[in-house]
Amino acid sequence: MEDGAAPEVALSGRWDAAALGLVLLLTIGALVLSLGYPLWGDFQPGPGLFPTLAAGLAVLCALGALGSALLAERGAATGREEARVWRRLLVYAGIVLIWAASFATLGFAASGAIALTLLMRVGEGMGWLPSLAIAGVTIALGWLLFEVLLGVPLPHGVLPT
Amino acid sequence: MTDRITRRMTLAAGAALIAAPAGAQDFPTRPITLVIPFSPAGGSDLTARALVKAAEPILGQPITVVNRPAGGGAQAMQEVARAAPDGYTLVNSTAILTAIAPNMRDVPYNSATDFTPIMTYGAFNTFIAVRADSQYQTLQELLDFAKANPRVVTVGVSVIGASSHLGMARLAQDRGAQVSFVPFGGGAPAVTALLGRHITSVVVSGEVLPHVASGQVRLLATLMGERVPSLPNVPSIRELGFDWSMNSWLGIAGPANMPQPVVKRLQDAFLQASNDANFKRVMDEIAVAELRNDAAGAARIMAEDIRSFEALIKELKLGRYAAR
Amino acid sequence: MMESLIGLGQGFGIALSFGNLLWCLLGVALGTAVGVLPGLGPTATISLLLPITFRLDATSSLIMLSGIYYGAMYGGSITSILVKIPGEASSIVTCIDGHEMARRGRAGPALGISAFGSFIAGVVATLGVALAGPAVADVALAFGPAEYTALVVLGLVLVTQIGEGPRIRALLMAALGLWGSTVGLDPIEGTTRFTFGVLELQDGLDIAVLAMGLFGVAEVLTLAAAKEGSTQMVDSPRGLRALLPDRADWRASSGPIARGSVLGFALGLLPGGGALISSFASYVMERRLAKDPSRFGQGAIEGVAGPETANNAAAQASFVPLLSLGIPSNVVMGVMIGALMIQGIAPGPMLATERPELFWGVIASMLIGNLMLLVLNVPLLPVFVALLRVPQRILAPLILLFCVVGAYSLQNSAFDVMMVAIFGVVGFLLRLVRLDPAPFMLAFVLGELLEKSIRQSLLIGLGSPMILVEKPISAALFALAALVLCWPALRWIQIRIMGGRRTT
Repeated sequence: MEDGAAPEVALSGRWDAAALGLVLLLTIGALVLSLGYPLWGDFQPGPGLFPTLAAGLAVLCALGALGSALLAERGAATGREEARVWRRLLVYAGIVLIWAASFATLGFAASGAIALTLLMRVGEGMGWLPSLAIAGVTIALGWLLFEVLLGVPLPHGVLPT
Repeated sequence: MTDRITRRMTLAAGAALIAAPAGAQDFPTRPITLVIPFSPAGGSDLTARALVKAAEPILGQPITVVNRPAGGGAQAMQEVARAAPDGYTLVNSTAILTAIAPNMRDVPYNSATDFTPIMTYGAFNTFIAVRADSQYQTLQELLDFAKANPRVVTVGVSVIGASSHLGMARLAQDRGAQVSFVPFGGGAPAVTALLGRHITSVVVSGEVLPHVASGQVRLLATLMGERVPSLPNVPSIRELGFDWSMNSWLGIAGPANMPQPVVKRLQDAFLQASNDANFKRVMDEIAVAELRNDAAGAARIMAEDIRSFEALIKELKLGRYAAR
Repeated sequence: MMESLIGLGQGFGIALSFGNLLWCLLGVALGTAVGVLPGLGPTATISLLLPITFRLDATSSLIMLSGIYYGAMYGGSITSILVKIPGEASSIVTCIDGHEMARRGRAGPALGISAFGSFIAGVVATLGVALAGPAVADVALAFGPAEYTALVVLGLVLVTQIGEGPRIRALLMAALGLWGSTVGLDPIEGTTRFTFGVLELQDGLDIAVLAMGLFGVAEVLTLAAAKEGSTQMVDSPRGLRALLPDRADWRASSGPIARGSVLGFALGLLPGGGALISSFASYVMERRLAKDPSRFGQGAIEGVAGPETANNAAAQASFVPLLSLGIPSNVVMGVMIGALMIQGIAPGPMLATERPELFWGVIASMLIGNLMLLVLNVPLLPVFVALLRVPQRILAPLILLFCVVGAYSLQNSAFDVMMVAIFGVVGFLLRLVRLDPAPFMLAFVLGELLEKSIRQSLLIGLGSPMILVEKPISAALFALAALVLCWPALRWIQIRIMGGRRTT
């Protein structure tokens, strides 16, 4: 079978199996957590039964996926290409997480401006000026759209008004 | 537009905590924020918004309404509990979050000590209903059958721990009957299951009234203390020989330790607003009964309910007291 | 039926009044405008735009709200097709072939067939309501917990047929989705599960937040991490004529649209998950019926036409149980009930007789709204397709912004913003391992319904699971689910016996 819409980025053989191993561990964790709730009540299933069944199924599937990944042919690793990809990804993911974490405390405008400027500058390698410009325009647009037109009470954080 | 500008000012002022406590004589001097711990367009939200609309001209300041339903509303309660007790941050307080929720799960606030009750304006009218072609003509018949046939009577409710469920559970317990509660996540789906003959009865709020009007459903009783004027044929459980009633009340409260004059000013304003014609219309339409109390009355109800719901939920071994 | 037709005529009289036409148009335009923002699905759109309708009278406000709803749904189809970000669970399947079509330079036909299919679905749904009358809502009464259990099981079986990459990984994601749906409050006992003391987790994971994270933010991260050039969209033709579905497209789509309309209408009458199931039921059905199923996932127009039509027909049909029983089939419909309440109207069986102008006005305006959607959006096709040429470095910050602020606007809660970011990163990692989030999302939505209905059934059946198979509707649905599940095995046996080679 031709692998339909293959994702643009995918891990190669060994890493794929390692990642599935991690997923397997997570599903086992979910199973253990689920078993912490009563499985059966007086006359009916307790809160733990369905999570346990779902997690159990997930463990089985993860085992199956891991097995088939180990049996599958290993793709050639493209080391250097991947390192560059990972760096960009880390930058993006880090900035997104920091943006979200500072959204309430710094406020919508400040957190967004910082995150977007960094994203453009570090992530996309643009100059400081265009980065600031894009961030500024985006934030202004977001403010206009959500706060002014749609009336969402966005957090203002450190900024007055 | 002015509305939005003032809202921003309120939020900014609230966030920065720059406001000095206002003199009680001229309270309020700036806009007030009312936090509603439920989603927009629910019963609590609709009545509170109508009340606020009527109270604005009386207080002479705009009141900004913010919906914060996250965490089942507990987050909003915590936010208000921690706010400055200056009367500018208020919450739409309810029996659900004040008296029931703390017994069902862990909440980050203490209902008894973290809030200053200001007033109550209404209570969800809760009915016990069966299909019109059902063999049960009275609540007594339903409970008698349930006593003779344990667990056979199915009762649709919105969620376990709602006042509807707790009320019916107490009725059953008082008569030594055993019923099976089936939660549907809302009143309307429970009523639909009743109409489709999947369950025996429901304990729900106003959702059932259109089906009563169409003649498909019969109301056996209301959990409130007395009959409602709009439904003179529906007996209250007190009339049916139970020495208690259950009011899932709605009101206004602020953080603990609010200055007495501010409480008085707000209480008078909101009580006056609760006479507003449009407010009364909204209350009628969603079957919320009037239950007007001043600050002292609200405090009394609150204290009473915190105690009685804790006892009841403990007795029924629900929520935090469930057997593990 | 005569009564219904008279009612419908009256409805058109009301819906075609100048004022209501204007509100309908405004609703459709605003709904599309907000819904087309990546990450903002119909739920977010309608709750954001709700206050605008407060000042209108009941009929107009409902007409405008439904206009917003259709507009937002179409806006969601646009983002699904162009940037692979579904606004709601039911447009997840649209992403599969719709986005693939866009990648192959056929965004125009994909968007076009979606608009035309939705319109045809609107005609069928309106006729369906008119012919069957408001009493058609009684279908929903026949469905109790046991019947819903069977319906959801059938839905889950269909979910396992959907998803990119290896089958076992799709199953894994579906299982995780089922588990994820149990986070929050236990649907029966009301106690907390897997909340780790985090207050906001008591509400469970929010489907809109999951969609923004797993699809929206994850897509941005994927684009960022992808090799330069590989995500470059194929340049689309610019003329409107070349953007519309051509004759071959229509030939391929007419069957799926016809089947999708009927399927969507029937399932949309069932408020508990029917509308969602209709979209991927249509997808799976079309793939089964196709002469060459391997084209699915490669940009098959049937994979867009069917689900989009079914989705829209179901959305319209779901107004019937909403208006006559007051049961909302999704969050959007819940908001609609609130809007009715604000106007002092309690949905119920008497609504169609007591307020015929409202009931039939809304039904008639569905048709008009869909026509407006078509009139409004077809000329805009070149504009939408041109969005594909927006450079990624401009698109990325915009998508992130809409996801972040859109998440906040759902409940005015910063926690949701954090969840979107976390699920964004998780979603990207999942893609690396070729774990498709689509089965996760669908199983997530169905899982909640499944656990609730099974446990309700057991409560009603006094602990005996026999209730699930004793009822005829539920038994029939279970049988159908078994058939769907065994179909590949049957085919495999058939092929083996005939001596053919394994083609999968």
